[in-house]
Amino acid sequence: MGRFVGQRLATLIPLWLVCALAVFLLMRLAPGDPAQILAGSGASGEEVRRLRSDLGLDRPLAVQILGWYGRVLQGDLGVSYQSRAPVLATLLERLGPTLQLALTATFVATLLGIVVGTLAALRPRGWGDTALMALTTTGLALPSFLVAILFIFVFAVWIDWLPVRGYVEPTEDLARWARHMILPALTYGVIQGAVVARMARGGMLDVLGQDYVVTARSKGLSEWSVVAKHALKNAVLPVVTVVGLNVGVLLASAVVVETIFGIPGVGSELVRAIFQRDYPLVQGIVLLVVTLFLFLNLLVDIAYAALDPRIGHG
Amino acid sequence: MIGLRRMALVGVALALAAWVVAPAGAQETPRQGGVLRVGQYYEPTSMDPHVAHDPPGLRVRNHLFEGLVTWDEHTNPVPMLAEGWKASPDGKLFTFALRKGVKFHNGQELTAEDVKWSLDRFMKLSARRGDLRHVSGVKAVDRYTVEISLKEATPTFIPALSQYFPLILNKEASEAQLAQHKQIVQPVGTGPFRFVEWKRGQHIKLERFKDYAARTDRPSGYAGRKTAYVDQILWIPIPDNAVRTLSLEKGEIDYAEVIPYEDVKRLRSVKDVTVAVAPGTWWSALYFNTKIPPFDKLDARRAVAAAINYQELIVQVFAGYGRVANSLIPDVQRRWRTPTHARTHEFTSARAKELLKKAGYDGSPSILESINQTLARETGDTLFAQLRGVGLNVDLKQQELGAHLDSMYQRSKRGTVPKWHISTLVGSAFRPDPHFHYGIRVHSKEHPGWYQNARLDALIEEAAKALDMPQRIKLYDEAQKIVMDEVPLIVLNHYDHIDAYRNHLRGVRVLDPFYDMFWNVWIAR
Repeated sequence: MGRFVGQRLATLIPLWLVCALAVFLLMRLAPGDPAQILAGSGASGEEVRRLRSDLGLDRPLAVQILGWYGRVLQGDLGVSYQSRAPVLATLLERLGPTLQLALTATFVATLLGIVVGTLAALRPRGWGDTALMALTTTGLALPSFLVAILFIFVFAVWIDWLPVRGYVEPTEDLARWARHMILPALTYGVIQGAVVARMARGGMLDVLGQDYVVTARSKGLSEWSVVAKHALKNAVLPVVTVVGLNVGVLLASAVVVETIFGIPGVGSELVRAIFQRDYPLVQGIVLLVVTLFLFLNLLVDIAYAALDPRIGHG
Repeated sequence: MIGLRRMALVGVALALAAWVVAPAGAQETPRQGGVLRVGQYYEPTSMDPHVAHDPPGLRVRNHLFEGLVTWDEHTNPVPMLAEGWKASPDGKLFTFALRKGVKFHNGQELTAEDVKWSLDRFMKLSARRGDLRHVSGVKAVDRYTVEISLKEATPTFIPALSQYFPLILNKEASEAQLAQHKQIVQPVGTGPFRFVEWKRGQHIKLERFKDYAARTDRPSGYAGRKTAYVDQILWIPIPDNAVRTLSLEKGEIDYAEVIPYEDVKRLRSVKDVTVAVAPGTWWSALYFNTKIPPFDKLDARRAVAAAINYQELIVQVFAGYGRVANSLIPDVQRRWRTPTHARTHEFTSARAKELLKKAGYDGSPSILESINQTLARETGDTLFAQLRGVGLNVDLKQQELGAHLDSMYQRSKRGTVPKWHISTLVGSAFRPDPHFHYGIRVHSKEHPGWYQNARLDALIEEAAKALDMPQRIKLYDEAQKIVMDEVPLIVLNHYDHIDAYRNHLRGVRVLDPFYDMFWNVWIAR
């Protein structure tokens, strides 16, 4: 098992380096000049050139990349062009809300998905199954911003149960934090839950046809016992992959939901940084997301190995 | 000259101070206390005035910090932290006497060292440091005296110093924070409110600074006596226009920044809400690329000037909240406004068509560029339709801010001729001296569309050196005439600045270019 984890970790490093390079180059391929944006339209050409040189943007690209890699490896992500605040400090400040959202949403998605998937699998092709699967298809097809606006309309405006937008730190007021988290988490939960539900249904159907389930049933065990105790553990194996990937997707697409619900996470900061061509901040945020994503993939692999010993030894 | 003016100002101020106290109190007694909740249109970049110059941020920072010099309501520079200043006969050395007994939020007294440290830092870091490029050194002569020496005499120095950015921070507290956090996390200034906390996405909280050392002269713009009545101000970011106005209507906030033009009429009918429309200092404009046809020809540029229905533009884009104006100097800068600055281009389609023919325009396509966000996008859309109307074959190209600026300012970045024929600029921020517009917008060295005019350059350069006010007024008058006749750019309008607030707020002043002034404001309940 240790060797397996070590191997996995070793493959992550080149992946990480390539991702970092891609981010760096992509930002610079996009039209836009950070110095000009920083100075605004009212600055003289001379002043913009001075700023560009201050920011090191007049140096050859290769020098910039190597310099950046060098500093990143020493744990220095640089300083934001716009706020001159250390990128790392900004990231740490913004990471909390994003992680809270990602984890809450994943929890909702997983719970919702497994319950719906399992229920659908119990009577395959029955009307319940058809209705549930139609619902999940709808969930998959809806873009997150639409779901978000729908939820806001129904729960925040129409019934007026929950706040429209905003964020409160959980350490400050847990109840208010929860009230603010419900809609964003549900937005993701419904969409990602649809994926989970379909995987769970497929997994459950496979398992329910296996000999040991037939045996369990013939022993006269209750349906609940058969499904929950015997079938579920094996049925969720594919679900683990989806959940792992989900967290990654959530982190990456937090952009939309955070912006709509006004959650001060890395997603909304990323949007702002991109529009302002705040290279160090964009690079820092994307690097963080990539790192988390790779790390989650590793966790999924490990979870697989733990659930199915054949993988770890293979 | 400057010394005399200062003496006159102090005299007037003292007289007014004595006069104002009584009538203001007679009407309604200001009440201390309460929390003022402000709906912010965008979350600021930073509370550090030396690194950030974003408009949403300066609305908060102006409560925390003060500068040596600030603006009165006509944007004339007047002393704030300085008692006054004296210029040497050659105009190259300015001596500022600091007010004594001014306290920072951490209890320390303001000294010349704080001023020196702050100005040095501003000139090193800020994206706006170019405005003070004439400064060669700042010296703390003694505890209450600062000397600023200039490389050459310039009338732009004091106006540049009066802006929102070269503000004074406490040296000791700032240095300690920079050493520990590499950024200012708990800004310490001399303003009437002190910083409490900034919870991202939630609020920025300021509270009344009990030891604030107020001036005694009449409040005017950012200048004069400031009294903090409310205990706390909360700036709550609500970037969504609809949500922000709704929050004001429901009474969840007391003050809403930046009301969208299309909402003004409806909001005016809401009970207990005042919508304040201030004549604006921001303008929108279009630039011509004078290096390539068709706008290398004067007649073609004049044709565009005649083809634009300026009034329709204001109705379409600003719901009528703006004024047709073609000068680079807004109304509020009264003393610069000779009749020339009130001159406008005449909208006559027939003449536009005639001029196009005269210019030998062959119907080849031209690119009209704008940003793809609300006001700029609508300006682009409207211009597109109007120019097409007179037979100009324009194509509209709309991009986000970064890409637009990159394309617009290709000249300064790469020294190349841009591909656009007309590029628009919506949101030219207020500048305290005409030089910062004429010198940067239309001078041959800076015009993004390579416009060249030696006569105009000479006028602008002379005005940037002349210390005599009437002479400068005359020079900008002549410069504006050339801008109107030669059309290197067309200023399209000056548009209004609109905020709204609940009627229980008293003493609110909504003025442009003064944003969010919550000193002298109290909550009546």
